[in-house]
Amino acid sequence: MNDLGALDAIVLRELLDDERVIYMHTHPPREWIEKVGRERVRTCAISEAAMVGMAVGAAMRGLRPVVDLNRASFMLCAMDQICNHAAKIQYLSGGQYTVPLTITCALRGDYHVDVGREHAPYAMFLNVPGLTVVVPGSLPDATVLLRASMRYDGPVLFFVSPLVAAGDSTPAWQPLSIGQARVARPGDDVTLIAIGAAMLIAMDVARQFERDGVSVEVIDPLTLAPLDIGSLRRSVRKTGRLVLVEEASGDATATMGIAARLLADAGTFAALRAAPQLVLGQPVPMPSALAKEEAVLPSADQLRAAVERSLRAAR
Amino acid sequence: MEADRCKGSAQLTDSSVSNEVLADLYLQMCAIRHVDEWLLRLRAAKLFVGAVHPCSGHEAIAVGAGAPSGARDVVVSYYRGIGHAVAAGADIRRLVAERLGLQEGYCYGRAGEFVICRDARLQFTAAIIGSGVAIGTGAALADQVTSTGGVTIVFFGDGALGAGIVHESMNFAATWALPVVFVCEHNGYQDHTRTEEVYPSPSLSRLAEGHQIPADLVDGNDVEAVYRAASRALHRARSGAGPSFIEARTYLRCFHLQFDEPPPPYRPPDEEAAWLARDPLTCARHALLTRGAEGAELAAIARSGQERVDVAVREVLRSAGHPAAYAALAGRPAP
Repeated sequence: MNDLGALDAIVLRELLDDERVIYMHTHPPREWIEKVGRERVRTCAISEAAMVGMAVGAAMRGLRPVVDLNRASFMLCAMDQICNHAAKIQYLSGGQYTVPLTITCALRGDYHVDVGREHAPYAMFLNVPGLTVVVPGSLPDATVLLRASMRYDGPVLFFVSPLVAAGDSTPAWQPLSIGQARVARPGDDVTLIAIGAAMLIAMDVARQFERDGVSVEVIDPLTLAPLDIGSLRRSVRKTGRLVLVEEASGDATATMGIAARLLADAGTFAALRAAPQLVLGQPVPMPSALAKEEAVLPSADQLRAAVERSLRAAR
Repeated sequence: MEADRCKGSAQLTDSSVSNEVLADLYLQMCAIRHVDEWLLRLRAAKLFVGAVHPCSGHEAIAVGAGAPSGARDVVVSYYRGIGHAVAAGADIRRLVAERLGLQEGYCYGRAGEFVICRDARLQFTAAIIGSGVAIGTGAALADQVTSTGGVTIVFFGDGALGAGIVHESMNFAATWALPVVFVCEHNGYQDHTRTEEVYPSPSLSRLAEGHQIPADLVDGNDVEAVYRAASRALHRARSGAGPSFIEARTYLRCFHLQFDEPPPPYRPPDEEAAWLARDPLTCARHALLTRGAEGAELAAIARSGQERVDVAVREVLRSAGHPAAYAALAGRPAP
C-alpha cells in the first residue's frame, strides 16, 4: 500500500502471528522477507490476474493471502478472478470452500500519478454478491478494519487513500468490525455521509458549521458491502437532512446506492425534510495537471454549499 | 486393422502399468464415456438447463493423469470436466444430481457443470477459460507453503494457452518451483475454431518450454502414455523440482457443446473418421488384448463401468421425480 506505515505494521503483525497469512506483492519490504521468510512473503512478477487467481486457490486450501495490488486501477486487471471466482466460490461450492482473501490497494493520494491510474473504482464491485468492500476514511478505522479483513472468512477488497491513511504511529485500538459504520462526529441538524478521502473535507466542513451553530453528524460507512444501512437510517431519521459526498463519479456511485436505499425506507423517507444532496467528482477521467485534478474533485466549498441547500430547504 | 491404429499403445507397453491397473483404467474410461452419453441424452430431453461440454474422446487423459495421484493431491478442472470428476472418485449420483439442479448434488445444484467436490479432491471447475490454471497454481502454492507434499493437477484445453493468465501462472509456477502438473488436452479446436488458425505453431509444448517448464508431448488417446507422463510429472513435483507440462494430443469424439440438440458438423469428416478409429477406449481395449486379456473379460469390464453409471442415473431420475425417464431414454442412441 506504498508508504502507509501504520497499515503495513498491521500486515506484518498478522504475518508474524498467524502462519496461514501470506503476502503477495511486486516489491515486498525486505525487512518482512527477513522476519517472516520468503515462503510467506512472495515477491511477484507484475501479473495482477494470476496473483489474485493464485491467492484464491491458496485461500481455498487454508491460507489467508493478502495481495497488495498497489493502485486501485490495478484491481481492474484482475476482474475475472475477483468477480467470477473469489466472489462466487463459497456460494457455488455450497460452502465446501471459503476464500479468506484480502486484496489491498491505494485510492487517489497526493502522488498525482497519472490519468490511467487515479481511479476510485470501488463502486464497480458493489454489484457483485459475495465481495466485501471496505473503504475507510481515517487511519484508526483503516488499521482496525485491515486487521478485521485479514481475519475475515471471505474475500475483502480494501481500498484506502494515502491521504487518510498515512502515518507511522499505530492508533489506539477500537471495537469495530466489518459491516459497521462509524459516527465520526455526532450531530443533530444534518447527516453527512462521506466515503474514503472525502471524509477529510466532511470533517472540515462539519467543524466550520459548528462555529455557525449548525450541528452536522458525519458518518463513515467504512464497509460499503455489506452496508450498515441501519446506522445510516437512524442518523437520517434523527436529523431529517442528508448530504452524501465521495470523490468517485459516474451514474451509479456508492453514495447514489446509499441514498436510494435510504429513500426506499418508508420511515427514513418520511423523516426527510429536504431532498438529499449528492456531492461527487466530475464525470471525466482524472486529468494529469494539478489544477485540473482539483477542478474534478469535490471541494469543501461545494460540500458546504450542499449542506446549506439542505438546511434552507424545508417541507 | 485395430492393431495398426492403436500402434502407439502396443509399442509403448512396458511394465510401469500393470495389467490390473490398466484394466481399472479401462473400466473408469468406460464409465466416463457412459456418463457423458447420459448427460447428452438427459440434456436433449430437457431434464436440465445450460450447456453440456462432452468429454468423450478425452477419457484417457482424465483417467491416465488422475490415476497416479494420491490422497494429498488435488485436481482443478474446466467445463469439459465430468471425466476429471469421475476419475477423481466423485460419486456419479451426486454429479448427475448436480447437473439436474438437485439438492443432492455436490453443490446443491448451484454449480451445475462447474462442480466442486471437495471430498473427491476436485477443488475447482473453471467456467472461464484459463482461470482454473491460476487457481490450481495457487493451490500448489498453498501446498508448498504448508509442506503438505501434495501436488495439484490442472486440466485445460488448447484454447487456454491464448489466455494471458495461463502464462502468468506458468511463470509463477516455474519461478517458485511449485508442485503443479499442467495437463493440456490438446484437441485441435477452441470452440469451433481450429487452433492452428490462431496460434503461431501447433506445438503447445514450446509455449511451456518458453516458461522453462519441461514439457511432455504424449498421445492423449493412449491411457498408458498419459499415465506414465503423469507419474513422472507427479514425482518431479513431489520431489520439489517444480512444475511439468503435459501436452496430450486428442480429439473430441462428438463436438464442443450441446444445448437442446447437437450442433451441425464443423470438422472435416476425414479428420473425424481418422480420430474415431483411434478412440481411446478402443486403444485401451486393444492394449489389454495384446497383454492377453480375453474379449469376454473386457466386455464384462466395460459393462461393469456402464452399470455403475446406469444405477446412478436411474436413482437420480427417480428421486428427481422422473421415474419413467430412465426407461424412456436408456434405449436412445448416444451421439
